[in-house]
Amino acid sequence: MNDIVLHVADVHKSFGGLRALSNIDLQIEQGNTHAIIGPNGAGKSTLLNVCVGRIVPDAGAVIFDGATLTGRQPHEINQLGVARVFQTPEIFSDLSLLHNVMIPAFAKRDGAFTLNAWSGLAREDGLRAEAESVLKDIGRSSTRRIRRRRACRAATSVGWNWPWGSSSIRGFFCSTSRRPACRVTIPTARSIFSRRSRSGA
Amino acid sequence: MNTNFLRNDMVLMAVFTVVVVTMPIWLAPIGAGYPDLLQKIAIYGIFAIGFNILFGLTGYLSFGHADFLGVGSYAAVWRFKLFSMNVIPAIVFGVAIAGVFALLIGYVSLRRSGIYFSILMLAFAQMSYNLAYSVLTSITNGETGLQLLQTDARVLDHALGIAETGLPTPSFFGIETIDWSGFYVCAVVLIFAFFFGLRIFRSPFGIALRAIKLNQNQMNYTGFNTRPHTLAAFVVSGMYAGLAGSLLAITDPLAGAERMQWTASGEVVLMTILGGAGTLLGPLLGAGIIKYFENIFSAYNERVLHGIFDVLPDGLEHAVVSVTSLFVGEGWHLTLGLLFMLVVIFLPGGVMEGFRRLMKLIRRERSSNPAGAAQPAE
Ligand SMILES: Nc1ncnc2c1ncn2[C@@H]1O[C@H](COP(=O)(O)OP(=O)(O)OP(=O)(O)O)[C@@H](O)[C@H]1O
Ligand SMILES: [Mg+2]
Repeated sequence: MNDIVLHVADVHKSFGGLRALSNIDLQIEQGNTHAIIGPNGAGKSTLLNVCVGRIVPDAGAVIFDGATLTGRQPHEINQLGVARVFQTPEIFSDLSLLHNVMIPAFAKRDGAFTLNAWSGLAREDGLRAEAESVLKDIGRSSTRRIRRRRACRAATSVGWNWPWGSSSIRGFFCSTSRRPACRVTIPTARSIFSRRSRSGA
Repeated sequence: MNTNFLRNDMVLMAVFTVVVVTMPIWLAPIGAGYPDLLQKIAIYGIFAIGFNILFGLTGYLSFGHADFLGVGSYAAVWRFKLFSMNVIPAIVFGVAIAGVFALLIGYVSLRRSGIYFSILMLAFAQMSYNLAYSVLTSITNGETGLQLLQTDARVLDHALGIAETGLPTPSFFGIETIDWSGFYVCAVVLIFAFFFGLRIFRSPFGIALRAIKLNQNQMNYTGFNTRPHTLAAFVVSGMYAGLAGSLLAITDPLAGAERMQWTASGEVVLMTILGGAGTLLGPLLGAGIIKYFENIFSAYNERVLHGIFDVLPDGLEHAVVSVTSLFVGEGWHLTLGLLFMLVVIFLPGGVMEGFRRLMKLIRRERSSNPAGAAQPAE
C-alpha cells in the first residue's frame, strides 16, 4: 500500500444532468506511468482537472502522498508536488526563455509567495546555472528574447507539449517535487493511432 | 554571477544620478531651469515610477492612484502640524499611511482584475475625494485645504525649543526645503526611488509580477500564490504615491482634496503610457514631458500669441491667434490630448519605443554603411 502515491477516491462530478465522472476510484503507484484513454467526452480532461484543483468534484477526494488535494487552491496543489502540463503550449511570451525556465524554479525553491524583491536575478547563480543546463540540454540559446511564435515553437520543442521532451525539462517545468513520482498522461488520438499502425506493421 | 548585468545597472544608476542632479543646468536652455517646475518633474516622476510597478509590471490599471498621493500629502502636513517641521518624519509618516491605505484598498479591489479593478479604484478614489469634502473636513479642512497655522502643536519643535518667526517652513535639519534646496531634496529622493524600482525590476519578485501580467492563471498552476504578489505590488506602488504626496507637501505645505481627484489619477496613467508602460525610464520621461509642456503651454495667453504672430497680416493674425489660443492656457489639455493620441496611435510603446526604433535605425545605418563604403574601393 505504501507505494500508492496518487489516490483518486470515489470521485463524482456532473455538469447539470451530465455525469462526467461517476464513482472513479484510481490508485497510482510510485514510479509508474499511466495512460488514461477513452473516446471524446469520456471525462479524461475532467478527471485531470479534478486532480489539479481546476474542477472541484461533487463528491470524493484526491489524495496525493497522504495529503488531500480536493478543495485546495491550484498553487497549493502545485506546491504539494502535482503539476499539470497543458496540451497547448503555455508560455510567458514576453519573458526570455531563461526566465521562463527560472520561474517554476523559483516556485520550487521559494514556495508560493516570497517577497524576493531585493536580491536581483543576476545574483541567482545556482538557479541560473540549473536553468541554463536544462536549456543547453535541448540546445536552445537562453538569453535571446523570444517572440510569441518563436516562443511557441521553442516551448513545443522544449517538451512542454505532449508528448514529453527531455526528462530534465519535465522535472524542471512541471513539478515542484524533485522527481515526478508518477505520471498520468492522456495520449492524443494521433499518438495512439500511430503506435497502433506501427505495431500493426 | 552575471557581472555584466550588474555593471550595466551600476552604470545606469551613475548616469541617472548625474542626469538628475544636473537637471537645472541642461534644462535651463529650454526654459525649464527653475525649481518649481523641476520639483514637480521629480515628484511626479516618483509617482509614475510607482504607478508603473502596478500597471506596467503587474498589469493592473488603477484609475484611482492619486488617492494615495492625496493621503500622503495630508499625512505629511499633519505630521508637520503635530510633530515637527523636519521633513524626514513627515515623509516617513506619509509613506506609511499611504501604505496602510493601499493595503486596505488593495485587499478589496484586487479581488477583481481588468476593467473591474480599474473601475473599483476609480470608485475608491472618488469616494475619498468626496469624503475629504464632507465627512472628513475635520481632518482635511475641506475646500480651504489643510495648511500650517501659527497655533499648531509641533510637539517636538517646541520641546526642542526651535525658534519660530512667523509661519514655519518645512526644513531638512535647518535647511528650508523650498526653491533649490527643495528641488535637491526631491532629486535625492527620486534617485533612491528609481534605485528601488530598478531593484524590483531586476528581482525574482519583478519577474513573477511580469509573468502574472502575462498569464495569472498559469502562474497559479506553476505554484505561485498570485494574490499576495499583486497585493505587495499594489502596496509598494501606493507607498510610492504617498512618497510623492509627502514631497508635494514638503515643497509647499498645503494639502487639498483636488490632489486625489480623478483627473490627477488620469494624469499618471497618461504619463506612464506616454513614456512607455513597463519600461524603467519611460514613466519618468512621461512625467517630465507632461509637466514641462503643461508649464510651457499654460503660460501662453492671447496677448503672448499676438506678440508671436505679429508679423502676419492683420486678418490672418487674428485667425491664427483665435485657433492657437484654443490649445494654450486653460486649453492646454487639448494639446495634451492630441499629443497622447499621436503617441498611442503611432508609438504604442510610448517614447521609449520611439527611442528603440531610432536606435535600431541608427544601427542598421551603421551596419550597412561599411559594406557600402567597401564596394567602391574595390
Ligand atoms: N465545464 C463544463 N460544463 C459542462 N459540461 C462539461 C464541462 N466540462 C466538460 N463537460 C462535459 O463533460 C464531459 C466530459 O468532458 P471531458 O472534457 O472530460 O472529456 P475528454 O475525455 O477530455 O474528451 P476529449 O477526448 O474530447 O478531450 C463531456 O461531455 C463534456 O461536454
Ligand atoms: Mg480532453
